[in-house]
Amino acid sequence: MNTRVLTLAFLLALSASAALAQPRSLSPAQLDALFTDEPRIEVNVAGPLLGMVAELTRRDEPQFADMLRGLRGVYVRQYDLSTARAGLTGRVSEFARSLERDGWQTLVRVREPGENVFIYVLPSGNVLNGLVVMVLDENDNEATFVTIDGRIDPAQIGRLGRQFNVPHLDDTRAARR
Amino acid sequence: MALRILSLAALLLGAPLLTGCASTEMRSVRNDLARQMPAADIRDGRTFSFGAVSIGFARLVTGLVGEDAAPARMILRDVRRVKVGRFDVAGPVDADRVRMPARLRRYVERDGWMHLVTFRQDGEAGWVLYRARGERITDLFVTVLSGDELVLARISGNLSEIAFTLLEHADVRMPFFGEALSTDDEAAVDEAALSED
Repeated sequence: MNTRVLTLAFLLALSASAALAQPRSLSPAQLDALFTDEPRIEVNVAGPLLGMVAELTRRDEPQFADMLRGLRGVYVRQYDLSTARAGLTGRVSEFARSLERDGWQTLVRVREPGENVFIYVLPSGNVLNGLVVMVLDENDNEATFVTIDGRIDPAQIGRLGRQFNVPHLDDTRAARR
Repeated sequence: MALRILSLAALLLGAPLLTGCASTEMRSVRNDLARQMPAADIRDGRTFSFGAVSIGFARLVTGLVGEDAAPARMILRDVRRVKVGRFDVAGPVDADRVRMPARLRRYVERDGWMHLVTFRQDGEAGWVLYRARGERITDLFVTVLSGDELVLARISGNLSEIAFTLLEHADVRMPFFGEALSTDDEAAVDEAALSED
């Protein structure tokens, strides 16, 4: 009996440590705390729906479909910038720094009057294990946050951006060169 | 014998109307939104529920139409139930602040539904939820609230198969959140990226 309990405790500890080792991304609660109102657009594509999108795409783009199969989820949240709490830009920069501390690498960082764009990727060998896009756009009065969780073929990032309509993601080929 | 055939025909013809009874689920969503927006007037609308008999009847009709209706017949084969509600709305609708109705939240938190989309834009608000069994999407619930109407729709069946059927017969490239580019467009994007170097 004791052996069984110990084995169970060991397995639980192992799974907990694996979860802790996983570099964190943006949680919905973290983002919601930055604004007084709920997001005006929220999209969560995960699980069987992502599998379905992959299969629907397979006929025309089998490689892209294979990559979609390797994703765990695509999450988009867009807020009205006028509902931001004080210090939004600083808090977003802090998010960016915390991603860097967790091993994420900067793919794009644009700081222009009226617009801040951050794109981060989590490299793992020849592939990426995650991608985060944060856009604060004063011109369009919107703040957009996109998280793509799972294995991403770097060659397919632009295609991914166009498929899911992710702002700035289809420009990344130019940025990487 | 003739009477039995006539009765059956009447039952089949009347089925879509007889099943147009009020749906508690739809009214619950409507009432929740009405409570959230006391200044707006969400009126008593109509809700319809189409089950096996109505859908079977529709399939029968599409079977009589001929080959033109073949895609519709194939889609109907995978539909198990459809519920639709429409309510007139008058008065101010604050789409930016309206929250997901409690019944839908309960579906997500307790009943295994997944939250696909929320939108609040241009005076409209909406929610799309779905439910899956294994790899198959089995239910879809769409709520759209605008300044003049509230529309609710719930469809159950093998929705993954319906999506494949639509794609196969409509001969379109994958239309999801972004429009897929043609090969020529992809090449143009690559060329533009190179020219920026």
